[in-house]
Amino acid sequence: MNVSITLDRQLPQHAPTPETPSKRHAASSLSRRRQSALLSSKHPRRGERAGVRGERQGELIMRSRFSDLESSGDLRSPAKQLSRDSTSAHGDALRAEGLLPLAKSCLILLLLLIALPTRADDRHHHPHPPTPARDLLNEIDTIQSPSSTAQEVANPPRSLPHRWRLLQLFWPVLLTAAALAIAGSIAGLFVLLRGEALVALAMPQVVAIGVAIGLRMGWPTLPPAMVASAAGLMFFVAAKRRGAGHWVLPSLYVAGLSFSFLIIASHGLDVTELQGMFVGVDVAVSVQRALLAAPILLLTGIIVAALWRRWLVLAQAPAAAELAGLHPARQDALFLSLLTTILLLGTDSLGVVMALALLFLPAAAVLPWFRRIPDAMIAAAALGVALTFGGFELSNAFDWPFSQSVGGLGFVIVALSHLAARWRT
Amino acid sequence: MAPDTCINADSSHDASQIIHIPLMNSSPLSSPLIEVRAAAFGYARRSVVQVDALHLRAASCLGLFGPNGAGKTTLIRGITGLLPPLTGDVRRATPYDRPLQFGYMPQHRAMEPGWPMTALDAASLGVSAQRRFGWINRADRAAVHESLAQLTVSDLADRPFSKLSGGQQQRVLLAGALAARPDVLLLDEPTDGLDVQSRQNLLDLLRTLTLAGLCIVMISHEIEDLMQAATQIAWLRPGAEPGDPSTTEMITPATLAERVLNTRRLAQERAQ
Repeated sequence: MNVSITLDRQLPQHAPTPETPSKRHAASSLSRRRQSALLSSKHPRRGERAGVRGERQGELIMRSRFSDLESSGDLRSPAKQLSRDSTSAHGDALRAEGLLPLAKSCLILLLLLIALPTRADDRHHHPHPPTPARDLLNEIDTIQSPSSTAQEVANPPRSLPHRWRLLQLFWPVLLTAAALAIAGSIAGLFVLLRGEALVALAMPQVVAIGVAIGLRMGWPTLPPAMVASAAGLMFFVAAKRRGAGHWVLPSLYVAGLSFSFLIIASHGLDVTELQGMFVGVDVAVSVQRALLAAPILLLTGIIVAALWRRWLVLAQAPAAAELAGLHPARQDALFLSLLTTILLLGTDSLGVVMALALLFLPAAAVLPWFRRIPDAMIAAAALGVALTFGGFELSNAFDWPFSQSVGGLGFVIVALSHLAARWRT
Repeated sequence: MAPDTCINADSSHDASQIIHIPLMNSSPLSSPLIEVRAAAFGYARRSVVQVDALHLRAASCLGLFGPNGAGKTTLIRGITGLLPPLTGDVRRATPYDRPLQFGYMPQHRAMEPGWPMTALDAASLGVSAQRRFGWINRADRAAVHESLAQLTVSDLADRPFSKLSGGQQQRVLLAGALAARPDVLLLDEPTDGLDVQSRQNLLDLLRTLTLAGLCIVMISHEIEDLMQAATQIAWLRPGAEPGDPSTTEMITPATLAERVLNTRRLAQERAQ
């Protein structure tokens, strides 16, 4: 490991202050690179690099881009045009499916949010509102490490005390990621077996709409993300029951990608934060968020695992389930709700890349090797946790982003697993 | 018939191989388990299939025969109570003061092959569906093992279901359906995709089960199968005009064979 501890101070607990409501009170935007810089003594310039305000840079870039757009025409008009087009194109289908009122309400709500002047607009006058997350970043950036050499001698890289300090520093991230790994890999197994990968891909985009609303309004991001994902899920389940799920999912995917950014258009700081959530380079979780998300994720994973025979019956003999008094559509909605819970907490806490990597990759890697679902679930959960810690090690060793380290390592394992399985047969 | 009956189930097997089939929950032969009178079944107030009179008794096998779209699945749903009748009356007996129990054997070709499951898992599907949260206990597992043993496939229990042959898969699924101790067993094209020997074995087994007192309802497009296994046949004929409900005629297997042979002869004469 290339890093050593140079920081004596513990990261502060960044609870929202009364004067400055937190943008993402639970999930801060603490950059992995910044954290590495804090711990680094071998790369003295890394501290300087980390000292550059990523958010401010991003904001300036986004500002200039959006100010050009604003000067050239109405920035929000493409959104209105898009919604008008999509409404007319799908109008008949929606009416036929009886989904028109719901779709209309969602569109109107989104357009209102895009057009709504909010407290966030004050940022034109105060470009960098002090939030706990940014306070934390500022504090980290300004930390000097006068005793780095002495600490490096005391705790050389890859030593046990060094790893212990890393764990102390990153335990909320690791706890949440490990919980996501367990729950996600178990649910991911059934997502792959049920052929519902597109649901898993579309839901984080829908969650992003809620996060964007939270950012725009200056609220915590989790509650609006919950509302958005619940609305998206209800819309999809209703459409699926009417046989229209195949066009709703891709539409939700695109809508999430588009509306999430339209809602915070011209607010560069928020755009950067949302980009961070999508890309997953910045991964940090507050203690409060970790203590909230990890138990819920684990509980959801346990429920999914406990109902494995139910998912099996619904997939293999839905008529038998129906004859036994089960409602396949309700069971289907239950599974999708559990999946959405995992994706919601995973995306809002750790970002889209990490959520999807831990959902798909462990499950895909173990599937060729097991002849029973319980064995596959245990192996997938174990591999998911191993991937999390393996990705963390890689991230620290090579100064790579955490999510991408997990995703890259996971894909290599999937490829090797399938090659080995093919060779075996 | 005694509650527990030993029958030489499969003529194609070793003569010493005796299948021990307990008479599950069937009621006396005389009283029908299900009675349908002048009923129409359909969706959204649109009648799909009409039935004048249909009686399902223990130790009988009803074959449902008809072209695609004639309403066979709708009729099954109506018989089992999943679909209430639009008109008419459906009465189901309550043997032992409890609702009728239905067993269902899915088509082996309709199973998702990608799911990792053993033959034992596949055979446990029916029992699992009836349990809260799908959890099966030790007694259920023992019942499934016993059922697999009765159909002489217990040695396949730990093998991956997807690696079994079509005939083996069907026997495993049938064992699973029987493990739930049903009053009425529903089969959806049970011989579809089977080779000649496996088909014959399965039909022999169904005949044995019928003789043992089980009530079977079997959807099939194969006249040969119906002639061998069914004791009565419900022939579903589509309505004269599009949108008209199908009608159901109750006939014997011999009548079905005669009519189909006549139809084939006429077609050949026209061709010549």
